[in-house]
Amino acid sequence: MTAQNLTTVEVRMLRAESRKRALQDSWTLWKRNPVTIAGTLIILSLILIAMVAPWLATHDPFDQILADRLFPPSLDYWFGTDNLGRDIYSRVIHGSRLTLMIAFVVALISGPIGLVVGVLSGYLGGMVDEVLMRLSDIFLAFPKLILAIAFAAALEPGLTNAIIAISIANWPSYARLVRAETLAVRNSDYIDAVRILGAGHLRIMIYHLTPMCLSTLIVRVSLDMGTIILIAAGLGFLGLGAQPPAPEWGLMVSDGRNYLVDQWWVSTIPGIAILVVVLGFNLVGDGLRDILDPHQRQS
Amino acid sequence: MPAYLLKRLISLIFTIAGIAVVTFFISLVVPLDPLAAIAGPQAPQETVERLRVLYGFDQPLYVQFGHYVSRLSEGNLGMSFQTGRPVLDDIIQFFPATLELATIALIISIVSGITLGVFSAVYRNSWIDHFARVFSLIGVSMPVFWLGLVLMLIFYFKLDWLPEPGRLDIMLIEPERVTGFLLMDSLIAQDWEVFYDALMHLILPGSVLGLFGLAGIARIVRSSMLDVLSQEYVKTARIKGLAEHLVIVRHALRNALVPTVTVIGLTYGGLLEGSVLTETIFSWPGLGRYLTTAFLTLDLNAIVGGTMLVAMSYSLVNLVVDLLYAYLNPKISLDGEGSLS
Amino acid sequence: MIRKMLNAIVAVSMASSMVILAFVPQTEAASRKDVLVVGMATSDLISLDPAKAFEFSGVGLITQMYDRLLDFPPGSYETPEASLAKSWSVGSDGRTWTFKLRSDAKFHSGNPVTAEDVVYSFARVVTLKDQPSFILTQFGITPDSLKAVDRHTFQVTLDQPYAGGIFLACLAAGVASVVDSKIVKQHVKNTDKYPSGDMGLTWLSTNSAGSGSFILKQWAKNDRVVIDSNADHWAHVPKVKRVVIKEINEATSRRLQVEKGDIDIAWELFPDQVKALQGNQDLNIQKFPGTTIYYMGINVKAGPLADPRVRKAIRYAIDYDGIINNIMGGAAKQINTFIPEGFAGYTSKIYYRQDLNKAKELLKAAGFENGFEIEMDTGDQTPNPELAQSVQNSLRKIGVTVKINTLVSAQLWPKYRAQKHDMIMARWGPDYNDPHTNAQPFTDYTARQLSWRNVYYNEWTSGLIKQAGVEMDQKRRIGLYQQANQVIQEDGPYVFLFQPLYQYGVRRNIDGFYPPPSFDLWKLYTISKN
Repeated sequence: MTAQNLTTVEVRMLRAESRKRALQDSWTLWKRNPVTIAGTLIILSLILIAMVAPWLATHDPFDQILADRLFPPSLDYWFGTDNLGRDIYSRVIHGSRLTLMIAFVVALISGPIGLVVGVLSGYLGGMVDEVLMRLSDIFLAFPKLILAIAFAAALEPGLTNAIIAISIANWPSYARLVRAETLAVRNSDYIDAVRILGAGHLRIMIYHLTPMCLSTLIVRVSLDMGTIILIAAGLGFLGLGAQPPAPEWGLMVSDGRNYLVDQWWVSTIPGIAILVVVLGFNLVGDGLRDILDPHQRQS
Repeated sequence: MPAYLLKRLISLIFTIAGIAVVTFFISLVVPLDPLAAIAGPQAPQETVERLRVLYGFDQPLYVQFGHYVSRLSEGNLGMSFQTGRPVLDDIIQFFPATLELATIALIISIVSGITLGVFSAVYRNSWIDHFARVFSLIGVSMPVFWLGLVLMLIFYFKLDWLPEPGRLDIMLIEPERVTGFLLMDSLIAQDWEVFYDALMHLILPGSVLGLFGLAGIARIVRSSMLDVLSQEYVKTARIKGLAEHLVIVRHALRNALVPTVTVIGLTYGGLLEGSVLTETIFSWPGLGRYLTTAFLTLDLNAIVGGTMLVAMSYSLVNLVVDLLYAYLNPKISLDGEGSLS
Repeated sequence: MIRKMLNAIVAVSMASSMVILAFVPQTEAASRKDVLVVGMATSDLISLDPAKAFEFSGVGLITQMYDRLLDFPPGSYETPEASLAKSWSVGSDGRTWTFKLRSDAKFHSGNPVTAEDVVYSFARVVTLKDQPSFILTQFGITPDSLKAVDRHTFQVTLDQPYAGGIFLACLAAGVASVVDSKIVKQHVKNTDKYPSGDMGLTWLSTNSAGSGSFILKQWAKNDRVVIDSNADHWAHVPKVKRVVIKEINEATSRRLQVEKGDIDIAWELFPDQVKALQGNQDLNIQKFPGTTIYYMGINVKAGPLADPRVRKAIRYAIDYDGIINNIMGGAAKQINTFIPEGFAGYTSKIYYRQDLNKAKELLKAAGFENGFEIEMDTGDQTPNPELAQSVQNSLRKIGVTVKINTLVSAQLWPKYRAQKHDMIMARWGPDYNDPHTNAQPFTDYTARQLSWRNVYYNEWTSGLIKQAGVEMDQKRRIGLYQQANQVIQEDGPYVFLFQPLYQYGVRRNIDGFYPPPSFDLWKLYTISKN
């Protein structure tokens, strides 16, 4: 069966068919793994908590009652209070919004950049490819955290700049991935067919290559969510991320480190919050890898 | 093979040059004044102006860039503002401590990662598998800065099983510096007390950092074990009545380790990176902390020198991994476009 | 074949390790009993050269290894006393100072301390012009104004008469340490920055060439500084053989280690840690009022802050008691003067207590009834972020919305120096032990210091301080400072918060520790270990 014998419509139908089957397989695999289910539940509850945070919180997350500082967990303060007498429970609840926001905004910035660079590089090849890939090599040569620290320190510290810094550190690996994917399909029968049907380069890149790379990219970005959250928390911990009084979890761990011995809850509770959320993303990511792994599918 | 190596080395040189330029421009976009930072809050304004001239910051940017490039091309990384010493000296002093920590961490990662991976694969989809996977994922999900604090509190302060943060007990004097690795130097000097003490000091930060690399290794071992266990020759070995543990260790694991090499290399790079936060928590006098301080104080020469070194080692590790992988797995052709990326 | 090769390898490596072993210095078996271990935040340490060091820990360490002409003995910080100089006098012109040196002082090298060494030491400082050099150059000292009259007589001529108290206090500062000129001259290097010789700047940053009670043994950066006792010191022979200053930057960590006995003295503990250590039988908490002043700088150029009524409103809005009792755990004292307790001229008068109604009235009078928005910068070191957040919370109650920027020092100080802040949470520590060291930066804008950074150009207060600088009568001089302080409190660009109580965790078996009031006034030679 060669490209010439198929119309675009037929190609689309075949692809839709196979996609549907893949989806069904994935569903079965997902159901089979309790670990993945647990991860999904964690992420769903995080989203839910973030949505209704103001109703869940029992206190104003910014309100300081200095006389009540460093109180242990109690009926009044479920997770205790911090060094400025703020309710840790309410701060952790409100912090979920920041965490989600960071993860999604970074994904929304670095994903598209990686996509554009990767498709251009892979489809056009030649000098464009060479220049873009050497550029991404340079960025890839820096460990992510170090690059993020460099940019966060260079720009003024703050949540926005932390997001920019992490995005700068993230796009090259996406560009690599998309490029590889583009290379794989660039010379496929399908693209040949589209070209013969008269599509221009721009059209091919936007309407055909981009959608084909998108699913791989989305999977990869979702695998990275945990790392993104950890880097953001690390920046917060080093004082290069969110600024006080923001209830960002990394910042809260950092604020509480001086009290760890006698008031363990101040930094332990936001620490656990980070752990649970990142674990949620990683569990789902682990499951996703299984689903995408052909060896697993066969058995 | 030599052609491939040459190509990789040339691209490495390009990358390093790029790194130098990128780092310089990072320092350019800094809207702030490193000299005012060096001078601190108390020094009078005249001192700041004098230092500006002394360090050449009064000159136009293109002149500064020219100096910078010619200096770097001579292999001179310049002086650190913070330590007042050549950056190269600083790096030589701090890098071995980081390497030593990362290496111990890697050993911990490999040993525990392989163990978990093998158990996971052998008892596939049982509770052992689930436990092993969740455990290794917890390791990679843990904010190291928090875990470090908690473990230090438990093992040093409460239980007193492990020594205080730092590299060596305060009463012991470092043996003569040969490699910069305390474990090796103490062996060379046959100073068993220092060796034991240095090892004990490594356990906690090494484990915290090691947890970080555990998940990746465990995962790849598990999946390649599953792959190998379904192969014919393993089945044959089983049919021949070989004891199960021998089948696993002698036949399956040995072959499953090939793809693991790649992941181990990547993990090593990741560990160098993870050391930034770990060193901060454990008062470890290594490059990670040196770099963090450099960033926080805008110590430009130190930033450039340090990041270049990290980036270079990162690239080198990747190169070595690729070569090793190709060596272990002759099916891969090195010259094929994109075969390794 | 292979076996032979293996044998050869073993033999060679054995031989080489024997050779290496022969060169390894045997580790001295200094027992824990003779070694004092101090845990301190020393991450700021750049250089141990008296002409360069200006960081807190560096200056403090220098005073252990070097002697100065005058010095403050442990426990008394009012006026400097004789040290290397036996006696001194000022000529009738008020500019020429003559110092008689003691003849029994020796450097660590065995060289005697001579007037030539003093000349060289001061000439180094004013020639190299590094950070702390202004402490000497402010008196117009140049290499030409220094003179060795004879072996033990040193003379310096200032560019005009200065108040004696100020000048002598400056000679007791770390930068005025006397270095061994013969040794230093052997280590002069030509460097990029100093093509015609660095006067030993590179070498002295990691070596010592002094006459002080301790000799630098090892400085492992980011790890520890080891100093050994100088048994030949002319007066102050240390009671321990060795002191290890261990870098522990986190106060929590210092507390844990002193509690476990891994260190003998924990430097600068915060109130929450002190509270946790209370009742511990193995430890003493020693306290001394620190001379550091925590204040908030207000940029007079920044919008609403130009109105003195607004600045006053802010001063009335702040919860001083809450800050002192809660954030500082009671280990601080409210202060409404730029002269800290412990210095001549300190006054305990308090102008401001929290009074939200008064604050609101003042804002209303200034036309900001509905408040305004403003930014505040703060460093990332405890307790500054907490202080900033407390101020933020208080100002919210009078309708002023504060946006906090937590900046690392590399960002904070340049911004402050460039006058780009709105408000800043900061602290000021005296550079030498005389009220002038605070009065000048806080009130004289021509000194281009704090007053200038906050764009507070007040000719009147500036004039008062200039007058004080040359006033020979101590009482009248102090009067001028106090006069300036009244203006600053009413109208100035600061909120004075408090003076902290410095607290040190000391193991019970340690005797003779004098808790210092500032970063450079500590002495280790008095400490003994039982």
